[in-house]
This record gives sequence, C-alpha cells and structure tokens, in this order.
Amino acid sequence: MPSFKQTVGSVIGILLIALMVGYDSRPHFDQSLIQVKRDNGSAQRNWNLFYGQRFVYYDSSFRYHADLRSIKALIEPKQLILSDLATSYYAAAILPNYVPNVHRHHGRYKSFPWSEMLANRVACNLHQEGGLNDFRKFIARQTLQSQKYKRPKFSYVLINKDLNNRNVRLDCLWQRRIMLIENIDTLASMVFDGEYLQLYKLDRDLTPSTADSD
Amino acid sequence: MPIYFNAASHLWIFGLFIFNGLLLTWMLRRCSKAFAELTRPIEAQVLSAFFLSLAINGLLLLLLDALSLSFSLAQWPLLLLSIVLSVVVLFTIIKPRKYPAMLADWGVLRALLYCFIFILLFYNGGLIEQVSDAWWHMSLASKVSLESTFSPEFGHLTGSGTRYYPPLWHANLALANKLSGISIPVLWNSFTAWGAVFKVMAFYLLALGLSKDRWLATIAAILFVLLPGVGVSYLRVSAWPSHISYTLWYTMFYVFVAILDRLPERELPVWLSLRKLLINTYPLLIIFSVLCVLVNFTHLAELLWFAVAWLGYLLAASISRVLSSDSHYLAERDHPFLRIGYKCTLLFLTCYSAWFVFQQSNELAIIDDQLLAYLLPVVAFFLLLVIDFRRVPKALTVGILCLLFLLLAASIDYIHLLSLFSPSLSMPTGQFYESSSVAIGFLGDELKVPNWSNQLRSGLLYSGGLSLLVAPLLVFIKPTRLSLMLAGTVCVAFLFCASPYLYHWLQAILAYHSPWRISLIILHPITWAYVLVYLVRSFSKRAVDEKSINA
Repeated sequence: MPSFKQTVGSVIGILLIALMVGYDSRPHFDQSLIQVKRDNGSAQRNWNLFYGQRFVYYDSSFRYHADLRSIKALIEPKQLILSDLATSYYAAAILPNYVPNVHRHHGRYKSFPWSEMLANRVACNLHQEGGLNDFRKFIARQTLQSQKYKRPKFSYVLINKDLNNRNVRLDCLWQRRIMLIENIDTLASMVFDGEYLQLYKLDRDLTPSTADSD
Repeated sequence: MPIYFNAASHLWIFGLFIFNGLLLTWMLRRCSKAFAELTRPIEAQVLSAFFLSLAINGLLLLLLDALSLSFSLAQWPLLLLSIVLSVVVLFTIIKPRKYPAMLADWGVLRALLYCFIFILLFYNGGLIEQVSDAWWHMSLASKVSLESTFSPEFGHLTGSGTRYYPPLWHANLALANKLSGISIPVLWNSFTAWGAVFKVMAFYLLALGLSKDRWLATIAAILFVLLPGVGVSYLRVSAWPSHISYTLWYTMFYVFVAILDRLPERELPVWLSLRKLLINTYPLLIIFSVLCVLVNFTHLAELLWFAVAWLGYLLAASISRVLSSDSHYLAERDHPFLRIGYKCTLLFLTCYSAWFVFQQSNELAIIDDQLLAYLLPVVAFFLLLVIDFRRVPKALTVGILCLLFLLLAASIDYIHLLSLFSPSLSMPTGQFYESSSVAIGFLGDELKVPNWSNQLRSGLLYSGGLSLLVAPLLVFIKPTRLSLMLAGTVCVAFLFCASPYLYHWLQAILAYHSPWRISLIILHPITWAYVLVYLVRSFSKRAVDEKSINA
C-alpha cells in the first residue's frame, strides 16, 4: 500500500502536470491571440476555439472562384500571368497557367528571373517617374526571352480589386494597381472584368526597339 | 457564408479517400487473422481505409499516366471497384451475418475527442488564409489535375524548370478535383478536418502500440491535441503532404511494434528465428512495406525520422543494459534480432560518417571546428558499438560511456541552449525563416545550430523541454519498451538541437535545410500521459487497498 507521502507526492505531481498542460494549451483558448497574430502576419497553424472559417473565406481565393471559373473559360492555357503574390497563387491553384512569384516556396527563391521585377524594385515604382516605362520595357524583354528560349509566353496581367483580403494588400503590385489600371491600356486590353478580378491581355505592339530604347 | 460551407466536398472526400478502402479493410479482416488483429481498434480501421484508398487511387492514376489517359477516366474503374467491393462485402459479411469483420474496439471518450476535433477544424478551416507553402502544393495539385500526369512537364508556378516532389497526395487531390469539379483550395480546406482526425487517431495507435494501454493512449491523444508540439501537432495544416506523411509515420510505429511483439523466442538460432519471424509476420511485414512505400511517395523524410527514432530506442536500450545491475530483466530489449540490427546500424553509421570525413577532406583545413564536427559522430558511433559487445568488461563499458557523455556534453553550446529560454541570447540567423543560426566553435570557426524560432521554442517550452528531464527518469523507474523509446528519442533530438557539432554534421550529411525537424521524434504527449497514468494508478491503488482492508 502506498504511504501517505507517496499519495501526497502523486497528488502534487498530477496538479503540477495539470498546471503545465493548462499553461501550454493557453493559445488554443486565447481569443485575443487571433488578432495579435493577424496583425503581425503570423500564421495561425494550430487550432483556436475562437477561430473561424470567416478568416479563411475572406483571406483566401474562395470569393474569387466565380471570377476564376469565368477566366478559365477565356484564357489561353500555359501562358504566364502577372499578378500580386497572393492572387498569383490563387490563380495557379485553379487556372491552367503559370504565375511567376517571389515567395520562397521550397527554397526556390533564387531560381527564376522575375525576382528583380517582383521583389519590390520595378513593380513597386510604378508611381515614380519612368516607373511605368520600366515596367513596359520589362514586359517587352520578357516577351523576347520567352520567344528565344521557348518558355511560356508572358501574356496576361491579373488585377485584384478586392479591398478586404489582407494578403493582397501586402503586395506593392496590388498597392499600385490604380496606376497600373490607368496606364495598362497602352500595353494590354481588358478581356474580363469580374466582381473582384480584372484580366488584361498583353496584345499591344511591344517590339524589340521599345525594349531596347533605353 | 453558409453554415454547411463546402458540404459537397466532404462527401467527395469520404467517397474517394475512405469508402473503397473501408470495404477493402473489412474484406481483408475476413481473410487475414493478423490483419484483423492489427485493425481491431477503430482508429486502425479508419486509417487503413484512408491509406488503402490513397494507394488504390495512386495506382490507378499511375496506370492512367503511363497510358497517357486523362485522370477523369478514373471514375469508371473506381465506380466498378466500389460496386464489386460492396457486393462482396454484402455477400461475405453482411448477409451471412459475419459481423466481426466490421466490429471494432472503440471508446466513448475517444469518439468524443474525434468528433470535437472534426467539428473544431471544420469550423477553424485549413491554413490557407495566408500566403504559405500550402499554395505551392495546391498549384502543383492543380497542374497534376490539368495535365493528368504525375510529373507536369514544366515547373508548375513559373513554367521553367521543375523538381521532383513526392506526388501521391497531390495526385489524390487532383483526382478529387477532376471528378468532383470542386476547386483544390476548397478540397484542401475541407480535408483539414479529416486529416486532423486521422493524425490524432494515428498518434493514439502509436501510443497504444508502445504502451499496450488504452487509457494511456487515450490521454496521450488528448494531450497531443492540447500541447504544442514541434510542427506535427499543428492541426490546421493537416492537409499538407508532410502531415499526411506524419499520419502514415505514426502508423508505421504501431505496425512495427506489432512485428516486434511477434519476435520468436530468444533461445532459437538466428536463422531459425528469422524463418519463424517471416512465417509468423509476413502479413504485417507486407503492411509495413506498403506504409513505407506510401511515405516514400508522400513526403519521404519521415522514413529517415522513423529510423532515427528506433535508433534512439536502441541507444537507450544499450545504455540501460550497460548501467543495469540485472542483465536479463527485459527480454524484448535484449532480443538477438534487435542487437544484431543495432550493431549493424552502428557499424554502417561509423563507416559512413568516416567516409564522409574522407570525402570532405579536400574542403577542410588541417584542423578546424568543421573537422571536429565531422569526426565527433565517427567517434560516438564507434564507442557506442564497442559498449554493446557483451565481452567488453563492465568497468570498461562504464568508463567509455562516461567518456562519451563528457564528449557530447562538451559539444553542447550552452549559450545557444539558454537562448531557448531567452530569445535575446539567440545566435545571429540567416536571411530566411528556416535558416540556421551560427555558433562559434572551440577553434573559432562557424558552426550551424537550429534557430529555436523554427517552431522549436513554442514546441519545447515547457512540456516538450521538460520531457527531457522526465523520460530518462521513467527508464530508471521501469525500463520498458515505452520508457526506453520516450527517453531515447527525446535525448537524441535534444542533443542534435543543442550541439552545434552534431547539428552541423547532420545538416552536412543529409544536405537538408531543416534538420531541426529531428525534434519531431520528441513524443512528449505520451511521456506526460505515462506519468499521469502512473501517478493516478499509484493514487487509486491506495484507495482500492483501503477499500479492501475496510471490507
């Protein structure tokens, strides 16, 4: 039969473990943590009693599915689409197209030539003098490259008009979208204007001389 | 947003990832006694249904890919299979009323736990509301679906360059997308609830296999849901290929323990034992092999962590044997098969790590910290091999063990260890989230250490970290298979994370950017469940004893 000391020891041990489990499992029951994480861009990887599908619904591609389905019917497959980081992923998960982006997924950050364009250099300077011109030249250069190396052709620009999705708001390409929309008619024509998404097709004359004019 | 958001996707998930597998599981239970015994817990039946469905779908898609046919054609063979299996189950199990094939061990508490997890994750959803690797995987699944092939011709995002990624889970998602017409993000989000339940079920099986105690395993499953672990316990990412693989990985432990339980008597000669083992356990060996193949084509890395976890167990068993005064107290620990396997593994590791030093010798200075880092495992594996020989005198083995302990203790960077508790002491880190931190070795050279921020700090503080102190004590109290496994895994994982020399070597030899994931083998929910059950039973034993005295 266990002694009194052993019994007290067992009870204290159980209480200590209960305290530790309670302390370590706090994040699952802390409602304020959801907002703190969202404000800091920290991923909510584990469950939380107060988390809800509404966050998933508003900050993922779900609301764009109708638009993306319409675009799928219009778009030419296997062509490149340029968009902000989040929308490019949303498009890649549904459309039969390619989307260059600079997210470091599976260690591939350095592996493709779009990083200069998308990593906050050209794409984010559209508002500055000459910024849009640089953008135009970039497109022309990419068109030439794809012809030369038989890569997928850079053919579309997808603009996300959504004001509520937190992910698209982080990207400078989205932040400069008004500038892009106002000037893109010199480069492309609109082929789709949905509730959230606008698709432009690059069909203007972007001759090599335009690209090399600098 | 409707309440029954994505309800159709849940029906498709059941149809494609459970239904055929479940019928096949019931049939196999009728045919094989070993399989019936293994799948007695309801968790084992559900997981068997899931894994068999994945395997069937994968094989079918492989065939369609080889014949350059569209994946949408899979609907006919799958439908035919469902009909055939349903008819067979109807006429061999339901009509002759041979229900035992469909019965399973289950418990109310576990059923409530799984319902709670499913509802919670249905409500929480999957982690797709942030830009994360989930979108990389969904993009790959989308291209697999669009091109009806396991290996899309171009890189699925950029259209230039590609690399191999184990395709089984992506192909299964692509199949669901192709047949249902439901988009991959919706399927991914919906599957999170199912995947979370499967993962907890697999963890229950792991705990049950090691402990043979349903109460302990149930508490371990509850703690798995409550306690933060190192990545593996994140339930909102349960639809990622790595987490499908973790589910398989836990089940591998369960099956492997079932094989170990059937090891023949120790007295038989080894070749006779081997023959007997093959005859006795061939259905389990087949199941284990299938699980290995599924892990290989889902995420791959877990095969390595499985081997490391069992090496940790054998290390703990070997060291406990050296320190024990009773040399015959644990038959399963000392089985000749395990000892031969352990010695061969250590011999291989000694030779391989020595060869690695030789291979790297051109890039190394005459003597620097990198060379020490590459030499330390060679010495450690060799010493561990020496102490496992029975003919070596006990005094010598204890002396070698002390030397090894001092060597390993000296290799630990204690500032780095302290920085686990105080982030301000952290070593400088690289550009990316998963980059290693940099520590300075004895000779002033740079060595890599894990960045504690990589899910480690939240996973280890405090229940994970404290299990390092508790698990070896459990071996001291009672050296069972469970306690040896718990102590061996936590010590190995901690050692590699705290010692820059060992971590640097591991990163170099694996050529892997995230060897800190070795900490996945820390099974602290089981450790704490073990302690709780031990304490409660010693407490309740007193109550029972008092009752019997009063009576």
